[in-house]
Amino acid sequence: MKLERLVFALLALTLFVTAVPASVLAHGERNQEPFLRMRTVQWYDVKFPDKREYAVNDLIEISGKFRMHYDWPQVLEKPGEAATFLGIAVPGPTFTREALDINGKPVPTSTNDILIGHDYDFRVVMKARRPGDNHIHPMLSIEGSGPIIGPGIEVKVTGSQDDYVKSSQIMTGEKIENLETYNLTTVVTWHAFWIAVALSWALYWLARPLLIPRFIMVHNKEWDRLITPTDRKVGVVLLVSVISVVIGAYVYTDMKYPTTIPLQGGKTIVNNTPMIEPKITVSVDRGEYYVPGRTLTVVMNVTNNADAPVRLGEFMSANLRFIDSSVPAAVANVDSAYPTDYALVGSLKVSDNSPIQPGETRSIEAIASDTAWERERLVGMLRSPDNSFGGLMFFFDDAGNRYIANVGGPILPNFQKSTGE
Amino acid sequence: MAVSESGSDSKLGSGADLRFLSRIFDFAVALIVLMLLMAAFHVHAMLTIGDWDFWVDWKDERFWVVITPVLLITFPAAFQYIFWENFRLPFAATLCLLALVLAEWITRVTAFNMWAYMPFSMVWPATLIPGAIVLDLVLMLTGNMLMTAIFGGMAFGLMFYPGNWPMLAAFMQPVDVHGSLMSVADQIGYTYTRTSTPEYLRIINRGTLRTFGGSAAPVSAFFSAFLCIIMYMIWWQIGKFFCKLITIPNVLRTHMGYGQEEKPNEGDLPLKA
Ligand SMILES: [Cu+2]
Repeated sequence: MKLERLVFALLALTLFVTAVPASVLAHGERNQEPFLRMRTVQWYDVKFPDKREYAVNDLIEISGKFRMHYDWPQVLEKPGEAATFLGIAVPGPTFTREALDINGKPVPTSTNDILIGHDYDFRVVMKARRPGDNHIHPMLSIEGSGPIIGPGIEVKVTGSQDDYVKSSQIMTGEKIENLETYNLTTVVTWHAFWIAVALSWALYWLARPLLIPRFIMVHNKEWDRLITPTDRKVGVVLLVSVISVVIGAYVYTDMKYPTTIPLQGGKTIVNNTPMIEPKITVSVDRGEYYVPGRTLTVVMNVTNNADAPVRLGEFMSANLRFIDSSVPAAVANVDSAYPTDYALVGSLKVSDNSPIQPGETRSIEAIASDTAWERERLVGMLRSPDNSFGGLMFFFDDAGNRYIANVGGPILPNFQKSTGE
Repeated sequence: MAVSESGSDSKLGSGADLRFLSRIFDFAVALIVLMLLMAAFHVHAMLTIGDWDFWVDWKDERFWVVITPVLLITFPAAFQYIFWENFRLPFAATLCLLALVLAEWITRVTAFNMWAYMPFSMVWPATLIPGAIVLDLVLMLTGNMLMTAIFGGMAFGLMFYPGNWPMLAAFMQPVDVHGSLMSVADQIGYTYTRTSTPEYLRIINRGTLRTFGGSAAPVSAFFSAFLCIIMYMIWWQIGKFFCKLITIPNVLRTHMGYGQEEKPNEGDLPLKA
């Protein structure tokens, strides 16, 4: 397990180091397998800032909610048992992390309290550090599953990286002007000192005839000419000096920094809110993907246990929002700052979208049709050994209240003709 | 009579010419060995201690302290055999760790900082030069592999943590980040985004009962020193193995009209010119 993590860390490092320089044009999450995106973390109600242009040192906040999908893929480790870490998907430290919150509390380290089926509020605040055009997304990493990337935006950062400053405050009183350069003088001085000592010792030997003469002397057993009494004296002085410097510097450093702590590796506690009993339940009869038409059709029984009649307004899966434009509340639910490549208004059709009355169960057909299936490479689900989909269905009543239902099930491809009952 | 002192002319030229050639050979080999170590030893270090050396928030009191000296005494031990046995030269370990730290700084500047934008406060390397010098000096003064393994190897392990503490201590001061206790190193790791490296991937001391007076570092340092002794002996033997000249007899020799191959006696090596 340890080795596995080490290998993963190295691979991740290689990947991100090689991935850093390119300013990506598309959202990176489409490189992940469809079932990872459709059946794990459902990001919704994500609020983006209106501004898309920032200066170095500006703060950018993305907040919203995510739900841990009930039908978590079997091949992945279960959240809760596996540690979870909220982060941001940006190209390395082009943006720095100012705040990472779940349910209103900071989560600076990993947590084991993110559980299947629950909803969470999240907030990530990042600070622009390096100029350029870059994508920024929230991201939830789950041990054994990998990073699950939420919806994101492309922002432009202007200015100069040299102006970036991150200050901090040590609890014993000292103020750190800039974390970037903190204590660097000490580090560089010590390295320079030891490199100089090592070089001197090497040059002490390189200065005299070396390989061939010495090889012959070894062969002739001329020991006293190989290591001379002077060499021994120099050696003893150097030995005592090196050990004294190490001990002296250690004692001095301990006096200079009397208050130090070990690295903090404790898990953060996240307060879970109780799971909400869904007012609307959905049971899927059949899921079918019509390949030439880039259309997912879900035949399902919807039971309304709410107090008001409801209509299906949105189907959300893998960060794509298929919205029925005939449901005003669903259209109004799309923020103006929300990127249009995710919010596909008019891409959802419902076979019979007259209000479902309280207590009524109705079989309806939801048809989500858009080239985004292809563009976001979700068609790959048809080549997956685990052919199923997942997502959230948003129902709305006339007053504009929203009801969220979980949806998921197996999926059948249709390569030929259009479907229809 | 050694070449360096032989003034008589030979087929190769005058004594001065030979001395000059011999020095050219010295520097050519020195340069090649330095480059070789910078590449090979650095690759070895990246593949074995990797993240513990890359990041300031991986430099913990347990894994970093134990693993780093144990895995970095390897090349010095092997090269000490080669340098000592053939030339009685006592600076192999120093050269190894010097090459390593130079190679590390090259990557920290070009790859980590210029390419991946990491600040230097996050990616400075540790140094093992003090321990390496002691290792060389013990070998020079005792001339004995076992003594070097025991005293030199132990010093190599023990000196790693105190040798780096002057650089590390400031990063281990406490800060309050949004109500959570962190060290400055933790805060640097939290702040500067390593995109696909979530915090749970850190292999650091996350709490242990096996400590004296609250700090895990002394226990780790002694454990590391003990392992260094064993590691030194193993890699000394590896150095020995690579020094053996292995020749394969030409089995077709007799079929080609030659007689049986004669084995040269050791005393016959043409060294006395
Ligand atoms: Cu993006």
